[in-house]
Amino acid sequence: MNSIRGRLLTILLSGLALLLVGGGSIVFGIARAGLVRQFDDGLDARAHTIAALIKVEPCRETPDGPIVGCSVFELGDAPAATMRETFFVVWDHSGRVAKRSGNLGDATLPANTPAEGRMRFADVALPDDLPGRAAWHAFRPRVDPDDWEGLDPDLADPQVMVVGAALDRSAMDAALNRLLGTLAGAGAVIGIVLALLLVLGIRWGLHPLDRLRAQLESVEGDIHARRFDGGDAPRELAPVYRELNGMLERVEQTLVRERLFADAAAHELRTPLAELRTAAEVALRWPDLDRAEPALREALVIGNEMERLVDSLLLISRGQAAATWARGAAAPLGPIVRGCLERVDDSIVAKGLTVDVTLNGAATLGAPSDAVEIIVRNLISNAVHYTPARGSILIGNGQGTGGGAALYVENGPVELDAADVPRLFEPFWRREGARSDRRHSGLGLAVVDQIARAIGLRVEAELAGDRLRIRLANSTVAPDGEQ
Amino acid sequence: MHLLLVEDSRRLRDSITAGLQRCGYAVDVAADGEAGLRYARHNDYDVIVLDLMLPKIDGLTVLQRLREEGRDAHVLILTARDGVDDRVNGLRHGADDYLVKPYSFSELLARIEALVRRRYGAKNPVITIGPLTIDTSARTVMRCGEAVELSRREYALLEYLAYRHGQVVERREIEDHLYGERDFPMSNVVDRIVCTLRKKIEATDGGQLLTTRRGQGYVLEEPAP
Repeated sequence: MNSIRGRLLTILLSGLALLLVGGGSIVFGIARAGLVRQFDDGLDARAHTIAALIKVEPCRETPDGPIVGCSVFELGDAPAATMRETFFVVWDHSGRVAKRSGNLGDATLPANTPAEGRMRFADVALPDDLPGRAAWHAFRPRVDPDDWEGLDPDLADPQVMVVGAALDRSAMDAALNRLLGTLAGAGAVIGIVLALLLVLGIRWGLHPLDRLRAQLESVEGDIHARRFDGGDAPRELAPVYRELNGMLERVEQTLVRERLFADAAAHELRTPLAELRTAAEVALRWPDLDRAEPALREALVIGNEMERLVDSLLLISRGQAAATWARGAAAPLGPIVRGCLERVDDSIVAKGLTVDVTLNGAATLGAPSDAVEIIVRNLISNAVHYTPARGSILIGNGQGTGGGAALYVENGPVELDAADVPRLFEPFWRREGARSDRRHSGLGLAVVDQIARAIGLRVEAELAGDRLRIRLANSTVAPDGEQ
Repeated sequence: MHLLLVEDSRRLRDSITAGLQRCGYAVDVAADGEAGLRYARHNDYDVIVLDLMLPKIDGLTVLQRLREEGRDAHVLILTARDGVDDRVNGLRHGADDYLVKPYSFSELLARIEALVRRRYGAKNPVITIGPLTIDTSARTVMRCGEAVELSRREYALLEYLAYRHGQVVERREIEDHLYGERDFPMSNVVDRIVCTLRKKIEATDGGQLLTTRRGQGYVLEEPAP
């Protein structure tokens, strides 16, 4: 049963059935117990009445024998109506039937021996297959002092006798059967009505879910552009709407970001593709122009540029995953910075740049070396590329509060405004929209930012006059820890 | 026809210029918006092929300034920006056409030809003047059904005169439309080309198609019966 409605109906209808059957049984049981108790009270009264009719009188077992007590049944004093309906048997102390009612005919009542003064009750079969119920009462017959006047009352010695009194219980059984029928009928009606109310109630209760489902099913095309109206949703569903819309909002933002990124990446590739295509078309269309060889040479250069672009894109994509990088390593800043500077030494010399490195000897960053090396390489390469001829670059570090080092790369003069600084780490961002210079794809600082985030470092840019300082630090390192 | 190509990619500039020159166009090139604007102000170009993302001054600003100054050269925007908004923006800034990179060179050429035709009010790429039929798309010339072999300069001159047939075209205008900013033609080079062209397109027994108006210029027109 996979539907909520089905589950609720199964549980609630089962519970309702159990409740009705159980409730009916309890009501019936209580009513039956009450009736039987009332019936038994009547039997009790009759048994006591019969017992009260028996007394011990003085008699002689033989004419000249001693005076002893004899049980005498004074039926004549019993209420006629009571005695007419009552079946009874009186057993003497030896279990012999001392007296029985005439309405028993040849039948008798089963013997029973309760403790003296106690009652026992049981269902019995009466003559003519009548259902009956009997009560047994053990008693000692009463001794009337008037009968023993002048005699020693101890001679009476009343022995314990048992009287069994029974009544026809057909009327009670019929009443119980009527009660049972009434309860069953009422239970069935109540059950049906409650089941209907239950079904309607569940449908009504689940309506907000149905509405949400309908809204979801009605969505065609881009679901991330939709927002669901949970204005009148019940309190329980309000968070669902809120989370759903929030999730769609985040999905849309991600998709927009991805689309912009893809647009920008496609845009970056359009010009080199146009260069390749135009060069090839012109060379093929007019072979006499001798443009085939230059076209092929340029194709190689363009291929290299596109490869660098793709490498940077892959670096951003893979660098975002922390698992890409080695774990638990401490990156030695000195060797990394020296290695990165050697790679751009020709450019530094060609542009006449001044590079000043003030690194503590054993400075390290608590991050994987391979990732830090890529970050530092991009920072230095970027600084060298964008610093004009005869400009200067400063590279230094400071001790951070977390025990690691903060590295900074500063270059200048640069042509940047304060408004440009937050955009420095955007992929493909260039101060000038032109893409004429494709030695740099506009991804260097985006690579730095993405990898730094992935390995738990923090990268910040700061413009001081015409100098740009980019600081790389462990997330816990205080910026003022620099020297 | 005299074109201006404003494009910051050196490779693209070289390839497009080579192709267009091979098609008989005089092409000036500018590598940034500032130079492009300067060229466009000083010359009467038939078509300006303009990139948008340019160093110094972006293409849209160049276009906007040209239109504000009343320059009516036809402008074809050639850019990597392919969004609908970009196209709409470019056309609304006064561009006459918009082509997205990467493109087919044939398409670029066809669009330039269309803009040239539009500049001279011609719808049909085939211009007929008396016995002369000039197919500006195929760049062929027929005289009475027979092909006429022309050099690139001769064809360019004939095409220009054909677009302006019936009008007197000054020598200076011809120089402007046949030679680029960096070409320095000899003073009599136009006369020599006109002379050669005349020999090729006029039969000895026919009337004069290309006439010289002394002190004014040249006219290409159907010979009087």
